[in-house]
Parts: sequence; structure tokens; C-alpha cells
Amino acid sequence: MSTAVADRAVLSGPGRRPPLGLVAVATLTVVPLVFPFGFLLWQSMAGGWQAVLPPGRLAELALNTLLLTAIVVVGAVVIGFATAWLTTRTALPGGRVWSTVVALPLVIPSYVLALVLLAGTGRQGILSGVIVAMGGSHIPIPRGLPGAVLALVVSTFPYVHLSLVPALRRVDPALDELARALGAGRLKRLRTVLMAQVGPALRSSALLVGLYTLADFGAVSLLGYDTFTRAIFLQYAGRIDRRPATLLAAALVLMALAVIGLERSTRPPRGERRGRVVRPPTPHQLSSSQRLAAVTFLALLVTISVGVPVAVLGAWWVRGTAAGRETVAVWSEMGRSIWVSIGAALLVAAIAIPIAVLVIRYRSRLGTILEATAWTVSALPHLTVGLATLLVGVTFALPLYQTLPLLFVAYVTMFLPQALGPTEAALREVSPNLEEVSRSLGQSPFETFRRITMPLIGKGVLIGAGLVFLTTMKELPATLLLRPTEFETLAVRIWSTTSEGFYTRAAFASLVLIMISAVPMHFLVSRDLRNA
Amino acid sequence: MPDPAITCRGIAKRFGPISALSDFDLDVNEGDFHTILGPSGCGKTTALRIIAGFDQPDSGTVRVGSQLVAGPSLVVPPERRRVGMVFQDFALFPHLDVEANVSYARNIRPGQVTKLLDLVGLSGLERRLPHQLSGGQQQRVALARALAPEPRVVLLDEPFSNLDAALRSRVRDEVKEILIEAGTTALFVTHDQEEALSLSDRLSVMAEGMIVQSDRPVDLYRQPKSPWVASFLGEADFVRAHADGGMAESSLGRFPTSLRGACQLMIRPENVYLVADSEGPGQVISRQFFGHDQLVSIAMAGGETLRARLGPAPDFEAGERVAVKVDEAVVFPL
Repeated sequence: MSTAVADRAVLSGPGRRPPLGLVAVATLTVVPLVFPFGFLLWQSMAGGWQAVLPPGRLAELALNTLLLTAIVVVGAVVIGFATAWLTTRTALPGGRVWSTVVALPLVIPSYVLALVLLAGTGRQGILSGVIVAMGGSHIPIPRGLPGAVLALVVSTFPYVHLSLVPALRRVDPALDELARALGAGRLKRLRTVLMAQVGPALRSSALLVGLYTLADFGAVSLLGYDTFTRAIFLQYAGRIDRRPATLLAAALVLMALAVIGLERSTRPPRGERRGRVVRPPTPHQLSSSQRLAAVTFLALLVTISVGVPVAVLGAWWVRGTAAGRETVAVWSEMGRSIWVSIGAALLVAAIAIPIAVLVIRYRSRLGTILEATAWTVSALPHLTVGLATLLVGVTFALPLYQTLPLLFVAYVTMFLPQALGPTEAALREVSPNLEEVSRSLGQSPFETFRRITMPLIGKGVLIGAGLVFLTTMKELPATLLLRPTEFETLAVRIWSTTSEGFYTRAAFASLVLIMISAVPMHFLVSRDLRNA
Repeated sequence: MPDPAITCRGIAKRFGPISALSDFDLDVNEGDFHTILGPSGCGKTTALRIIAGFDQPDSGTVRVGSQLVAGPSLVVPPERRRVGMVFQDFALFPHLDVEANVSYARNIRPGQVTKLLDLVGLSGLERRLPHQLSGGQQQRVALARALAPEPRVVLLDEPFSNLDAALRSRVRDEVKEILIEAGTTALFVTHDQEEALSLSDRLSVMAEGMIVQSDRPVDLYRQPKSPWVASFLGEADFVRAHADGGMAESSLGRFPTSLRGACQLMIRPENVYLVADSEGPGQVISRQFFGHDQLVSIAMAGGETLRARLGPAPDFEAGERVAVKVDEAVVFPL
């Protein structure tokens, strides 16, 4: 048996050449995803940039963006760590259900949270109404930094939660016991033992939150906080000259690349993350008052991040309907959102397959490069994806400008890794022996793929497609820039009606969007937590 | 001369810095159950994969029957070689039932699937999925599936190593019977000496990427070409001797040889006989008792040690002196 293992290890190393067709297809699908960024950076270099964009303005935007990012990262990490710790390491009534419930805010996009803040406060705000009815005064509209922080912390702490839950579950209790036996105090154990094991996940999720905040367009633009994304869009929409927008986008891309690089370098090597825990850690025993406090905290958090938003949206809708306003005319937007998302899901899932085969079956270096490239471009701010793709379209393929194909290119750029992940995982589970046996039984590579590989990785491909569907439904900035004129999706409709102050219409559209994405999200989140 | 089923000539294969095969020659005769036996990592699986067409040789040629399937500027893909394959993990298609697995191949003659399911004793289990079968049953499905398109040869890669010991010898016999019944040439790879010796019509011993000796199992065991082959195939002790005039002389007797000068005798324990004798040249060091036989280690007067495999009866004790008789030995140069 050891012979076979040794031989296999040799065989799966470099040296087995992938078929040329496969290499060509995989490369041809990834190159168009990178090219726009290269073009964007090159264009921004052309001509003196100081003339187009005063350095003072650039510094101001950078400062605003970094300030927001820093605050959001701290807020999201503190809350996400608290929820992850409480739901994994203590015995709370309700147990693991909390772990899923806490992740619920993921179904609410940041621009909808911005809408909730705008529609809930101020003189007409629903929440103001409640406060006034209780004898208080109305809540001022949290425009600018406070509002942006609130909306983004709520939409990012679930990411921290989701990445820390598995890390905390893997913490080996033996190490803590050993440290205790050696006489280490509580604080020292927390610092040395717990952080050594959870630290990498914590760092990496903090950087992901940072990346998300840098990239956010919806919340900051609706709440009027002056960051890069908002400035880029204003420059783009308000001027014929595209150079200022291009320059700002290039700066934002470079910032995002720096954060991505930092995240990569702090990521723990793959083997380390696979550590197996012999027995689960003993949950901390909380006193009844501590338990009450913990449950109150979690309940309050879920109420603020999910309950209040849904209630505010619902109230606006009911109020608008009662006043006889047109509220529900979003069916055609909904239809468009759904079919565009299905289209993107199928396209992206199909494109992911050859790349996954290259990476998993052939361990091809090219495959690994393509994969890393796909991950990198997908992590760049969606607004810059939109702008770069648009720039390339206008310059090289004018007939494609404002057509769906260009929009789909952007969707592939943004969402390819979401399909790649589950597809690769599924492919890794299929023994190459199965494919070889099929060949030896007289079936061609294509027949082998159709009858053996595809049925066996089908579920993984489907999960990938589901993820892409979900994120396409919510995608705003790239869709906004690239969509054909008059082509309004739910997300675009919510954004435009909110920015025009038609909260009633925006509210109903948001409720529909939340409803649609809740179903697959529930499925995917519970799968994530189960697998952990 | 029987017709060749597989002919490999001068095959070399490297994986990066590691040489897996070099100057690999192999002849498998039509209708034989042929085994490649070698220690872990000697390249036997690579050889099988090259014959099947899953990997390409860097140089050399492979023929299946008279058809050239791999050579300079020519590679026939696996699906056009008519070479069946049975993997160590059986590689049954997990989403297909027994019948769909067996009937998966292209170009199966009508009635063939029923006939094979009957032959391997799986009639009635057509609708079972692979995970609902025992290890032995999975093995037989894999075999039936490989035989269905009537291949010119079936390759088996350590097919019994995934079965537990109790099951192994029974499945081994079944597989051999099925292959005889089907009349198919089989090339089988293993690192288990007993398995190789008991199953094969012909046996090729492999070491470090090449075949070192091919013969009938009996000839290989009794006439190994090198001390290494002798030790690899079974228990062997070596005793110094001196050859002259067609005979090798030693304290254990005279054995015919064409060598001259210093040489060594390879002696297998079952060819050694002991008689209690207080004046004898040997002294019992230790004894391992197995029931049906026993292995007695002896120190010879010249300082060499020798083992004897005897029936359970003679009751030797450590320290006892014995007379030693050897009735068969192979002479190697020193």
C-alpha cells in the first residue's frame, strides 16, 4: 500500500502536462479579468496627475477612507469576537442556534442599512416617531462618519464571527490546561495560548473587514461620507472627463492591493489550519447573571442589526401604502435581478470548472497563478471593477458599452472565486482513479467528464453557483456603472430611489431583496458552520 | 513461442529529479497470469500506468499484442488500448449501481454483462450501489467491469491490499479463477512475496526501476540470479565457499558451479537438516516455534549463522550441538 502512496505522490507532482485546450480555455477566461486593471493603472499614469487632481484632495480622501476603515475594523472585530466566543466557548441557552442567528445581518446589504438609517431617523423617521411618542425628541439623521460606521460595522461583524467560530472550535483545550498546570495566569493564557491559536483567523478577518470597508460604495454614498468610492462615482457621473475618476480608482486599487498583500502574508500556511482537536473544549460556566448579560447582548445585537432594519422597512412600506402611494411596482426589477443573477451564476460556475481541473488534477503552476489572480481581482472594490471594465469597453469594444456582456465580464471578475472554492473542494474528493478507469474502459476524456466527473462534482458546482447568485443579487456599484440604460435591478432601484428620497419604494424593494437572498444564505451559512 | 500480450522495451521515466523507470524490459505472454513483484517505490505502479496509457514514457516502446501503443512520437490514448485496469481502491463509480458500473465500457457485446455478473457471482445485486457492497464484492465488481469490454490484458495494481487478511486469500483465489475462466491475460503488481509466488504463471522481480529477473515462480525461488533476488523472495542465509574444478567446497558440503575462486552459498532454511550430535560443528542459538514448523538458528564453527526450518518434532535447546546437512544451495560469486 505504501508503494501506491509513494508512487502517487511522485505522479501528482509537476511533470504531468495538462491538455493544451484546457490551458487555453482557462487562460482566456482569466486574462480579460486582469487586463482592465492594468489598463486602468496605465491610463491613470498618462499625463501629470497633479493637474487633474490636487494632492490635497487626494490626502483628504485617503484620510477619510482610512479613518472609516480603522473604526469599522475595530468595531467589527470586537463584536465578532464577542459573538464567536460566546457562541462557541460558553454554554448558552439556545446553544448553536445563536451562531447562525448572529450571522443573519449578512442578508442585508450595506446600502439597505444606509436606507434604514435615513428612513428611521430625522423628522419623519420611524424610530424618531417611536422616541417622540415616548416623550423624547427625534433622532438626528446620522449622515457622514457616524452613519457609515454604524452601517458598515453591522454588515461586517458577521464575517469576523464566521471566521472565528471554526478557529475557536479548533482551539485545543490541552494547551490551555498545560499552561494552567505550568502556573500561567488568566491574562497570560489568553495572550499566549488563545491568541496563538486564534490570532491568524483574527488578523485575516480584520483585514477582510478592512478590504470590505475600503470597497464599500452603497453606504458611504447614500450617507454622504466622503471616501474614495463616493468621490469616484461623483467624478464619473458629473463630468465628461473621466481622468479624475480613473486616477482616484487607481489609487483605491493600489490601497486595496496593499491590504490584500498584507492579508496574504499573515495568512497561516494551509497545513496549520487543518489541526484536529481530539476533544472539544469544555465550555466556560457562566453565572446566571453573566448568562443573562450574554443572552441580552446577543439578543440586542440581533435586534439592532436585523430586527430594527426589517421593522423600519416594513413600517415605511405600510405607511406608504396607507397613504395611497405606489409601493410595490418592483416586480420587473425583481425579475431582472433574478435572471441576471441566474445568468451570472451559471456563467461563473461554468468558467470555474476548467480552472479547478487545472489546479486540482494537474497541480499546474499556471492553474495556481490563474487561481490567485482570480482571487486578487475579486477582492478589489467593485466600483473599480465597474470603472475599469467600462474603460476597457469604451476604449476597445465600444459596441459592448452598456450591454449585458460587459456587465457579465464584471460579474465574472468579482465572483469567480466564489464558484471556484466549492468546485475545487468537490473535485478534490473525486479520485483521479475513477477518471482513469473510465478511460481504460474506452471512454473519451469528454465522455469521462460528462458521465463521471461532472455528476460527482455537481453538488459543489451548484453550491458555487448559489453563492454567485446571492452576491449578484446584492451587487450595486459595478451594475450601476455597466448596466444598459433603463436596465434597473432591485439593487439599482433601491439605491436610486433612496438617493432621491423615495423611501417608501426603496423600502419595499429592500424587503423583497432581503427575502430572496435569505433563503440561499441560510443554507450556505448553516453549511459553513456545520463544516467547521 | 507463445504470442506476446505485452512487450516493453527500454522504458525510461523520470518525475522531475526522480527516476522511476530506467531500461525497463518486460514480456508478458498471452494467457498468463504474470506478476511484477518489487519493494515499495521500485516503480511497479509507474510501469503499470505507462502500459495502461495514463502516463507516457520518456523513451522506449510499449506494445500490446502486436500493436505499438507508446513509442517515439506515438502515444495511443488509454481509451484505444483495450487494456483493462483494476485499482487498489477498486475505483468503482460511486454514483452508479453494480450493473451500470459493469456495463459502463464502450463496445460491450450484448449478454456480456449478465454473463460476467454471473461469473463473478453478483447476480441479484445489480441495483446495489458500491458503498452497499463488502470489500470482496467491490473487488469482483471492479474485475467484472474491467473484463466487460473483453480487453486484451487486465492490469491489477495491488488489488488485494485493501482487503483484510481473513478475506484476502479467499478473494485472491476467486480472482484467479475468474481470470482463468475469462481466459484473459493478467498483469498484476504486488509487493507481497507469498501472493506473487502462489498466484503467478510467470513472475518478474523488480528493483530500482528495472526488471531484474523473470521466470516461473519455482525457478525464481530455486535459481535466483542474484543474492538480492534470493533474499527478496524468501529466507536466505549465505555461507562462504571456495570453487574449483566445477565444485564449490564448504564446511556444509560440495555444490556444482562453473565459478572459480572465492564464492558464497545461498542456503534456504527448508534445505537444512539437523541431527543432535555432541561432536557436531553447529550449535543451536535459538528456536522459534510456530506449531506446524519451527525455525532453528545455528552458529557454525566458522562463525556463520544458518537457519533451519524443521517439522515440530525435534526438540532442540539453545546451546545444544548439532550435525548439519544441506541438500540444496545456489552458488554466487562473492
